[in-house]
Amino acid sequence: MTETGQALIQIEDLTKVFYTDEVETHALSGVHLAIRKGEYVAMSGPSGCGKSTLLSIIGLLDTPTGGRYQLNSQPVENLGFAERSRIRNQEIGFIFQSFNLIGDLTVYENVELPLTYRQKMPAVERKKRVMEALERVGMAHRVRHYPSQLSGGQQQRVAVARALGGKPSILLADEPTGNLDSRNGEAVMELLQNLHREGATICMVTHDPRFAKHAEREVHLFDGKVVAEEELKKLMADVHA
Amino acid sequence: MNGLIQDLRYALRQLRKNLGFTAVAVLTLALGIGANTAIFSLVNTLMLRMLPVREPEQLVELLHRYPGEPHLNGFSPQAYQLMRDHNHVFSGLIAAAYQPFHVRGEGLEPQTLQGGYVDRNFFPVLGMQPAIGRLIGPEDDRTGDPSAVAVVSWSYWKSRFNLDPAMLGKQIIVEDMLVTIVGVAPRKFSGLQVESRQDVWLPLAMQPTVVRSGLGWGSLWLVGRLKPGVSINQAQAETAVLYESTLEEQAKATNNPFIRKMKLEMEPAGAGLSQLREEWAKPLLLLLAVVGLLLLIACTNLASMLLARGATREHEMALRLSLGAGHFRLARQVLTESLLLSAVGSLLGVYVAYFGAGVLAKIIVAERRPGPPLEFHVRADMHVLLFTAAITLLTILLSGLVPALRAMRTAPASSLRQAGGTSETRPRRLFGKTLVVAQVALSVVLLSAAGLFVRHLLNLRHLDLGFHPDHVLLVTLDPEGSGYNDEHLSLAYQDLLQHLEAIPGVRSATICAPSPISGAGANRGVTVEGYEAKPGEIRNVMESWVAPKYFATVGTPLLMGRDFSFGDKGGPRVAIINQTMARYYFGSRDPIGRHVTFDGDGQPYQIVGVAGDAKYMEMREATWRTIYLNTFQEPSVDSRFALRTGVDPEAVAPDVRRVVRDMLKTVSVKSITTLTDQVNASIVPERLMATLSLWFGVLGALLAAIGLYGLLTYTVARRINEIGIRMALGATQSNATWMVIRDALGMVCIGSAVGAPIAFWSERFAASLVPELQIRSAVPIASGTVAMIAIALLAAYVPARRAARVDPMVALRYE
Ligand SMILES: Nc1ncnc2c1ncn2[C@@H]1O[C@H](COP(=O)(O)OP(=O)(O)O)[C@@H](O)[C@H]1O
Ligand SMILES: [Mg+2]
Repeated sequence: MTETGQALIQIEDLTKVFYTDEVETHALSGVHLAIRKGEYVAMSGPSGCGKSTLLSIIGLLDTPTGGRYQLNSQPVENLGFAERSRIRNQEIGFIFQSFNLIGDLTVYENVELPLTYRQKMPAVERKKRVMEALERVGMAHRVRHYPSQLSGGQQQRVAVARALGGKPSILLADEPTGNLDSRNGEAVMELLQNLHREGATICMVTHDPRFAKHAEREVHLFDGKVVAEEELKKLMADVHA
Repeated sequence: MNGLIQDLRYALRQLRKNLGFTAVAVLTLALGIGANTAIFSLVNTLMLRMLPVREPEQLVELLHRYPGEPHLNGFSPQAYQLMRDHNHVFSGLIAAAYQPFHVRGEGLEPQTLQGGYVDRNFFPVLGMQPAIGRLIGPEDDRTGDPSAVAVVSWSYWKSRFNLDPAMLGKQIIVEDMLVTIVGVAPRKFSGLQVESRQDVWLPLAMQPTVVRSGLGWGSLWLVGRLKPGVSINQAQAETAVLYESTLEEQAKATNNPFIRKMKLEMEPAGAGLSQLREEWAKPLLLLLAVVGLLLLIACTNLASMLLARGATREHEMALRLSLGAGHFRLARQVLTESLLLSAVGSLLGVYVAYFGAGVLAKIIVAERRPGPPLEFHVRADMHVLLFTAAITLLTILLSGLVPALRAMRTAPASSLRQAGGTSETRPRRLFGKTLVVAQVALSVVLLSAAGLFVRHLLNLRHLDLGFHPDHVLLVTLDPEGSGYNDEHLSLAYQDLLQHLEAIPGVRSATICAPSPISGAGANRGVTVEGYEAKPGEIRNVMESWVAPKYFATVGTPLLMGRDFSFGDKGGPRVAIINQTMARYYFGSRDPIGRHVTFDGDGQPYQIVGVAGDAKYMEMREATWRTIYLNTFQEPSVDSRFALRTGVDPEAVAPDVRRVVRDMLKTVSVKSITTLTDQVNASIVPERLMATLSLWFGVLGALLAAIGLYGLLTYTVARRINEIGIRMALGATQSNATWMVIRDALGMVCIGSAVGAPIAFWSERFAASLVPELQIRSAVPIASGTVAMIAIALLAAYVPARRAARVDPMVALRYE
């Protein structure tokens, strides 16, 4: 059962400005966004429009310059480092474009890693969760392998397992298929879709319209703002004209 | 050739680009190579450098010693003659007596030269040809009818006569004898001694004519040339029989049965005769081991730094390979770099060694010892050159080989892999860690050794000496040629003592000969009233001649009876004995009023007091039976004064000089020192070992820390991405910090676990060389390990903080 209707992520008038070499980059300028529990949201838009920036703020990897952000009805903009770490660890599952598995650790250890940062999780429980997650992505037969011994598609499946193991409130994926060929890309997309069907909340960044269609809802970003689809098309046409 | 120049140019550019690294590497190597060269050149001078004589390895020095005491090198003329005429093991046995000569002559400034009497065999057995003229031979050394001739050294000929051959036949006055110079010794020869150079040699038979007193019981230094095929042990066994037959006679003549216990020994003399060798050989070898360890750490350190740098250049290497460079060429390139570093390091190191060895040589001869001052010139020769070259080569290999081999293994394909990927393989990383672990292990050994030597020194410092050396000034006067006769001097000194005590800051003044821990002493056999000596028992006791207030001045308690007084002069002979002597002869009975008679002296001394035990000649000795006599009761009073002061003893020295000058116009002050300095001078080897090993230990640990710091910094830099990912997955700052610290602790713990047993074994080895180094606890090893861990944690601090500050955003970048 999914509890729809309740906003898991509530973002209002969010801004993010980067200051580099006296140049201000307004990566986000007044973003409004709400994601409900159980939703599958795809975020798209041209390169440099602020997708990754928004995702990293949602994932508490970065802090906004202005605006409000509530996760599970709790404001999180001003939390301390340790609290943010805890939330990242427990509420959020990351899936990166370049998989970001740790080369020194086996498949099993990679999936186990976020769980080791949790205090007082019994080893038995940890093992159960790791194996569940790996079975869920169909990689349980590769536990002793190192990432370099796997194909890209397999690595990304392990990365998904790592994100699942912590039973997070939301899965955040930044172009999860960007480094994969189309066949492997399809497989990962199918995996996310299945996860969504089982109740997972997902927010995925992609610039590939085919993959965006997998989601329930598509959010378009342009120049640091959320825009409607028609408006985006018009804006894009203006750019190309 | 062209390629080599290219390599050199490239290496130079690399080194210039990383000036910090280059400076640290060169300085470390300079210190390592310098310290090794310095200590080795001392070892070389003291033990390895061969005398410039024919087949020096056949030469052996004859020595003898009382069991458990340092060896003596003086033999009696009788023993010499017997051994010379009846042995079958030497192709020649030579004798020499050394002494400073006062030399003057027409056109020559009067001068004191080191010289000696040499027997007729001396020059022939050494196989020497004169530079000009002739050398002393059998025709000169005739007992009762010696020729009045002298042979001088080449350097004397050069400095005084400008190498003028016409000086042959010139007459000079040695002491008060007119002698003719008949020849010059070969250029390189300056006597058999390591620590002094001789300039004048006279025939041994002239000795009674010049000095007008016979050669004493222990005045001849003997050196034999072994016959071919005779071993030193065979020679010792045969000669010992001859030697022991002379002891019997000696023991009877001197009524000293203790002499029978003396044993003959022989030692190789090819490297010359040395007064310092016995005491310094082992400390220097231990120091050489210490600086050897330091150099090993420096090499490992450099290897690990080159390796870490090589890793950052891997991409470039692979690129070169894919552009067609050979593997060998790459290896050569890396080696060129460590060759350059080592070459510059060893050049600087030679400078370090030059100064270091000079300073060490000064420290070594500064040690107080009776007799004429020693000279110890450390010269660089072929041995030193070869040694330096060898350790430099070793440095190049140790530091460069691993990075070079690694460069050879670079796979060209890795140039195609993306940078920043997980390109470093486990074995490689393990190797980098192993190098750091090795540095830590070696440092633990070094620090433990330092701990051992420092502890030994502290033990000596806390030793109960039986007196209080602080605030005591020692003043030696020279009444020679002052015109005072014994009686006048004795009266003048009584007066002087009172005036010395009147100097502000002086609490009490006395005379003591010898002063405590002077390294010199006297002993005689005694007969003690009421004590029956067993046959073969050692009957000798140590003697000290002191003035009233001696015990108060040096701070030795007077346990029973009374102190000496000026009133004892002219009265019955009195003595004060120490507690050990009192117990030995009287047990629990009262010694006061008993009598002691010295061998060969009819008049007994009555015991009037018992003093506490005190160290006599050396700090390290067991307490001797000691008897104190009143110097004012002796035929001639002694001239060694001691003053206890309430202020810094050095501060009263000018007043002391003034009072002496005012009161005894013709008596000069020969030397002034403090008792503390004298005590310190007696433990120069221990102090030097402790100080140097501590410095080197700290230096080694710092190097290991730099190595650890370098590896951790490099690792953190390489793992920024990984740390970012971990943080994105929920790792906290303390998780990241702990990750680095754990890494550091892991290496340090393994290093310590490897180092501690080696340190344990090394301690035992050191103690087997120097038995006084008692190992009673694990404190040195434990403190060495703890120090290393503390230093390692400090080294890990910066990289750990850097890890904690990694921005988790990097997980999203790197795409
Ligand atoms: N750390 C940063 N410092 C400066 N500018 C940044 C930084 N991160 C992103 N930006 C800028 O912010 C804008 C949005 O970037 P990003 O969110 O990565 O875009 P997208 O993921 O949609 O391609 C870009 O113009 C980018 O150059
Ligand atoms: Mg992006």
